[in-house]
Amino acid sequence: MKPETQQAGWHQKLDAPVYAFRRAIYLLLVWLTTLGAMILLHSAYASGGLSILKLVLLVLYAILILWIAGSFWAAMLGFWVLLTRLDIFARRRRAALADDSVTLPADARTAILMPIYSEDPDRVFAGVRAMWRSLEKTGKAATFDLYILSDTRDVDTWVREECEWYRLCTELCAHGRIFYRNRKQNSARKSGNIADFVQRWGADYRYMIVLDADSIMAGDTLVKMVRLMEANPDSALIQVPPLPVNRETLFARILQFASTAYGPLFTAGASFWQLGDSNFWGHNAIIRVAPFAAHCGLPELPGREPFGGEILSHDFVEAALLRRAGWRVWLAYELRGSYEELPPTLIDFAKRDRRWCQGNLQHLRLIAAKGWHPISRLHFAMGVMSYLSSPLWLIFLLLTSAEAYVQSQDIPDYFFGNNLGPVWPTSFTVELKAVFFFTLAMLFLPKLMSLLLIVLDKSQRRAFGGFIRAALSALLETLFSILVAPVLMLFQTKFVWAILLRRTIGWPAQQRADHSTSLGEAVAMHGVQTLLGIAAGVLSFIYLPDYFWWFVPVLSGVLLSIPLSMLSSSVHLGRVTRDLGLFVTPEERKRPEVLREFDQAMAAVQSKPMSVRDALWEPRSHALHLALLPPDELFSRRQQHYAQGLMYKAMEEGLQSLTTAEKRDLFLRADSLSELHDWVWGTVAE
Amino acid sequence: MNTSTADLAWQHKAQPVLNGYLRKVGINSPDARARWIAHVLDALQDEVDKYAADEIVELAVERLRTAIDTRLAQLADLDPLQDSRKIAGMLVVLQEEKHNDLMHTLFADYEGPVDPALREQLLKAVSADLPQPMRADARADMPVQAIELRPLNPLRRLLLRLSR
Repeated sequence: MKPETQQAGWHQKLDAPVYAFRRAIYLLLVWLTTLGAMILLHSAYASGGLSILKLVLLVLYAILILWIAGSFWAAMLGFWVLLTRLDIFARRRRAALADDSVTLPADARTAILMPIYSEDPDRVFAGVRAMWRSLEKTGKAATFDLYILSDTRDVDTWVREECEWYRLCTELCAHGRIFYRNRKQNSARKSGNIADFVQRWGADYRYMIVLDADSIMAGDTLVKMVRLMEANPDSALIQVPPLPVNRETLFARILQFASTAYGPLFTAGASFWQLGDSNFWGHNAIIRVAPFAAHCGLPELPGREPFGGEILSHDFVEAALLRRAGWRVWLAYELRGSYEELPPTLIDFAKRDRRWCQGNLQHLRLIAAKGWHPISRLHFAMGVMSYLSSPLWLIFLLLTSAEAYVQSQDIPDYFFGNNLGPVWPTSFTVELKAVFFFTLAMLFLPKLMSLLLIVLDKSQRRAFGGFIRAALSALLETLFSILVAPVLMLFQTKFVWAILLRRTIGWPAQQRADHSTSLGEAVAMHGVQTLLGIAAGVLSFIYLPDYFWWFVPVLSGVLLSIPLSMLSSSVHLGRVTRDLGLFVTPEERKRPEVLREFDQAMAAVQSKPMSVRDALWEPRSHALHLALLPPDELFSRRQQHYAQGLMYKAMEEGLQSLTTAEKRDLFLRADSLSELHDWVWGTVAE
Repeated sequence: MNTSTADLAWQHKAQPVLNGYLRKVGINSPDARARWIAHVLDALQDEVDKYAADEIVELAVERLRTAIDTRLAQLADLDPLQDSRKIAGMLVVLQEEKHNDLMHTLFADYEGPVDPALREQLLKAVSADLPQPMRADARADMPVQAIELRPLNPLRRLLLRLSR
């Protein structure tokens, strides 16, 4: 399936040179910066000739500085785009959305998909409620349906999802508009869940808006996404960057501030050079269903996990497949009203990284695959580098220490050859310091530029709590990120190492709600890191006393990782800083309507949740579960005996004696479940 | 109801359970409940010798549940087996408080002819809130795509190509 030929206006015919020009500028800046840094470092290393160690350091630095320069120049170009508002593509999008009174065509049917897997049902349905209400308020909800696509295995959560879904539909009069499905076999995780939707119901819809369990999108944004797709018939996917909201721990609040304040710079910059070859981030994006169905059936990679098997980070691959088929993928960085939630603690953040790391490293095998668009290859490479950079930095630090030690062992020879006077060794401290500060500048300048953008815009300045509070928040966030960076570097190095050793992780449910990190958990996760920090500190103090203070920023993060992890997980500290006006985001200061709806829905959550016992005991819950089961299959005699065996086991030893899978098998059988229902009531008499 | 002395024990045991079950289902009238209970217990009376004493209450509940489903199927003109999911869904809707009166009318008795007007009222009442977990299928093909993997190393790629 190919995209419709553009009914191109004159301006669209100019797109190809714009693409080429922007990419040339970006790549030129990145390569020149890398080259400059390399020349500087080379001149510092040149004394005494290039040893193998120095050569390795140069190569490592080249890779790392290229990576940093890529990010730095994206941010700088983003700054320019946001400052001047001269991006013609964003202008076209704004023009397409200018008239609010436009109605959506009746055949532009859109399914909003919320794939869930063992999430807190209260949270999930509060989000759905808020989005649906917000969508209804636009008066343009008629062409939308919403699907809750559950892959939940745990029966307690499954039963709660069913009850919450029914309650929600009744409350919103949305029966026949909001659907719920619990997938029988959850093969291929989230991508399999979406594929199952496409295969079963995809023909009914022109678009699907894919969300995550923690996504919230304003109704107005959902409508705008459809309108943008309608205006761009050659686009298969438009990604809207989500802003993190709702968390209250100190850690999450700092990250929320950082993403909200600095994020727009990076997304605008990425969009500047990626244009219609942008990427898919897995959620908060609208997708044209027909090309997705035609081109995004994911194969399994040959070999075993973690590099073979199911494709884990499916989003990058789906975007690449759409591009391969000639469709455009856009990043609409200027659209607002798109939200997500962050992991509440440093440890949860690291756990999420573990999953993402495995998915991204799997892309190593895809980079060179045949047929990709060059920018798609770059997306894969950037995904890989976002995790591989950590072990590379660690190796770079270790080798730098080794080089420093070698240098410190050299006894300078002032009198050699035919020289009559002493020959003083050349000092390259200035060059080394220049390299160091040059690298730091590229890391921290984007933050400063973001702050400048906030300061220049009066409404933004007010939304971030005023100049002083915003600046202080940025300063504290920078200090925090300096401390956390080496901790994340060690975590990610460990993850990469584990993946290289072919250790896989399953599909663990995520901990999304606010909670504090206990001492035990912190010691278990950071204990080894702390010991490594102590060892590195002692060794550098003894053997590299001249360089010790240079290592202090890296060492302090690692040494303080336990208290840092515990303190930053505190909700109390998160609230105290909020009361002080620190790390305040516009969404915290003035809650958008859809988030206010969400808050109300969360506040109305009943304290006593449903359980499996209720589904067995309460005739209403029991009937609801039966009503939602797929039609009965014909079971073999062996399957029937198996189900009976489970039922009798539950009767004699209690439901808790069954494994999650066994409980699920039992709850998939209407006949066994009804028999158990009768038995539960029968036991009342005893 | 057969109330010979030997039978009293199991009936006394089953009666409150069935009563509680009917109450939970939403049949609030004591008279109606008594009729349903008598119906179930009478029907069981002839079979009581075939079952162990500790199973008889469970069996009574099963019979009661089946009787409710059958009556609802009759009222809605559905097949109790083929349409069991839909019947379960209707029962969910009817247990909402706003349908208390209708529930009382529908389940006043376990048998009897169905007034077409009542059937219409029932179908109208449940139509808006009937659980519809899924739409009818509208299938789309999603063919698995081929991804031709190649080594990252360009030299190796060249060698592989030459070796072909």
